[in-house]
Amino acid sequence: MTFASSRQIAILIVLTAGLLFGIDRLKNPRRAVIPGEVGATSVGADEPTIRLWLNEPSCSGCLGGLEKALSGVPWLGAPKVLEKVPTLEQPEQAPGIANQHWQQTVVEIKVAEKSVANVDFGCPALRQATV
Amino acid sequence: MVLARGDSRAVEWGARLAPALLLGSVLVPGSAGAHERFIKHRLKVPLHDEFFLQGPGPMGINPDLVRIAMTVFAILVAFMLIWYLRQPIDAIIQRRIVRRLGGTAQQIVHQLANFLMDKPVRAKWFQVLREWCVILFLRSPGLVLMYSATNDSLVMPSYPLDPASAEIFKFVQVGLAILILTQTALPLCGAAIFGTWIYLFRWGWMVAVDAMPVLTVAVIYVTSPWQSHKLAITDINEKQMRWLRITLGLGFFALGWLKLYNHDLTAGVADNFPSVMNDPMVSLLKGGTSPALPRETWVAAFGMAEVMSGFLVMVGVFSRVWTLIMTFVFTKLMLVDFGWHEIPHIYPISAMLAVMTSNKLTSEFERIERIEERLGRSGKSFRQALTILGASVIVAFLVVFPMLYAMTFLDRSKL
Repeated sequence: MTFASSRQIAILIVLTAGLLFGIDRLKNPRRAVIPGEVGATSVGADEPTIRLWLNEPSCSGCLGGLEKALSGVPWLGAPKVLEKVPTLEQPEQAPGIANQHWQQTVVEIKVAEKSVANVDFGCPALRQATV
Repeated sequence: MVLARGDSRAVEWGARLAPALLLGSVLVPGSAGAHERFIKHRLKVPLHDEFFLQGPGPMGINPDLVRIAMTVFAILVAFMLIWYLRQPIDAIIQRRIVRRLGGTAQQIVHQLANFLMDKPVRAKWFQVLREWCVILFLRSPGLVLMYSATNDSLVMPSYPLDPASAEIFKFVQVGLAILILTQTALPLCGAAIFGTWIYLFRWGWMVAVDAMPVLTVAVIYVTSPWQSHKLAITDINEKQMRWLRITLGLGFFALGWLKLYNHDLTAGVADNFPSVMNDPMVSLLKGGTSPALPRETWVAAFGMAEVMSGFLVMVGVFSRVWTLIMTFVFTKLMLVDFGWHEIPHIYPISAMLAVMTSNKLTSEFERIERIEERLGRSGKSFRQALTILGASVIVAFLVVFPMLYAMTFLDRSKL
C-alpha cells in the first residue's frame, strides 16, 4: 500500500485552492464582497431601486399575490417583472443572461425620489408582503 | 467554483441560504451574517444586543450570561473529575454490581460501562455497527456533494454557486463525489476538500469556520492509501481517530462561539422554528436565568452547549457520551425541527456515529492521568486529589471565561 506523503498532500491542497481562486478570478472578475467591507454600488444607482429575487414562483397566483401585497406599501412604485434575469454579480455587464440555474424571477420596484423620506422597512404592509 | 454574488453584502450572504424567497439587500439587512443556515433564519423581533456586550454585571458581563457560563463551567469540571476517577468507579461497578449479576445481565452492564468510559466494547453487534458507521462516514460526503450540485451550491446548500461558473463546478463536485462514493484516490479527495476549505476564506472567516466540520472526513481521506478503491475500509485506526475527534470537536467548539458572536442568525432560526428551543441540554444550561430575555439566554445556552460538547469531544473526555448526545440533537433537528432542508446533516451525524462506535478512542488528558496515578501509587493521595481537582478547574475556567469575556467586547455592527 502506498500512502500520500505530507509533501504530496500539501501540493495537492495548494493546487486545489489555487485552481478555485483562479477560476473565481477568471469567471467573476469583480472581487467578492465580504462582510465588514464596503459593498459594491446598489442596482439602479441613479434611482432607488429594490429587486426581489424569487425562487421558482411557479405556483399559480404566487406572483400576482406578491404584487397585490406590495401594492399596499405606499412608498413603493409599481412592481415590474424583469424579462431577463441578471446574474447576481454583474447585472449591468450581462443583462441578457437569464439565470437558468435557480429558475428565479426578479421583480424590480422603483422608489420615487419624493417617497424616499417615507421609506419604512418595518411597516406592517411590507412585513405582510414578504412573509 | 464561485459562490453567488450580490449587489451588496446582504445579498452576498443572504443569497447563500436559498430560502424560498430571496429578497434584495435592502429588504433583508438583518440577514447580513446569514452564512450558516440554508433554512429560514430571518429575525422576527430584534434581540437585545446589549445582553451580549459589556454592561452591568461581573466584569461587565450580563449576569444571565455569567450564570449560563457558570453552569457550563460546573458541568465541565464534573465531567473531567469523573473522567479522572473513572477507573476506581469502574472497579466498584465491576466488583459490586457486575459480579453479582451473572449471565447476560452481567455482560450487558459490563459492555455498557465500557461504552460509557470509552473503553473497547467487545461485542459482535457493536463491531458490525462500527464497520457500517465507518462506511457511512467515508461515503456520505459524496451524497452531500451530489445534493449540493443539484441545488446549485458548493459543498453545502448554504453556499449557492454563481450562475456564471456554476455548471463547471457542479461537474467538478459530481466528479469528486464519484471518487468518494467509489472510494477512489481518497488522498486526492481529502486534499481537494482542504483546498476548498482554504478557498472559503475568500468569503470571510465565518464561512470557513462554519465549514470546519467538513474537514473531519478529509483527515481520514489524506491518511488513506492511494489504492483505496481496492480496499474495504471498515475501520479507523487510533491515530486517525484521534485527529478525527480533534477536528470534529474543534469544529463544534468554534461554531459554539460563533453562535454567540453572530447571535442574530441563531435567534433568527429559532424565530422561524420555535421547536428548536425545546432542547433538554439547552434548557438545563438556561436554568435560573431571567425569563425576561428568553431568546437571548437561549442563544447563549445553545452556543455554550456546543462549546462544551465540542471541547469534551476534542480532548476525548467521554467522547462516546457526547457524540451520542450530539447525534440525538442533530437527528432531532433533521427529522423533527427542520425536515428535508437539513438532510445534509447526515454527514455530521455519520461523523459522530463513527466516533461513538470506535474502539480506538484516546484522550488528550492521558499525561495528567499518568501523573495523578503515579502520585496515587506513591501514597500521595492528597496531592493526587489536588492535581485532579486543580487540572479540572483550571482547564474548565480557561475554556469558558476568557473567550466569553473577550466576546463582550466584539463589535457586531458590521455583521
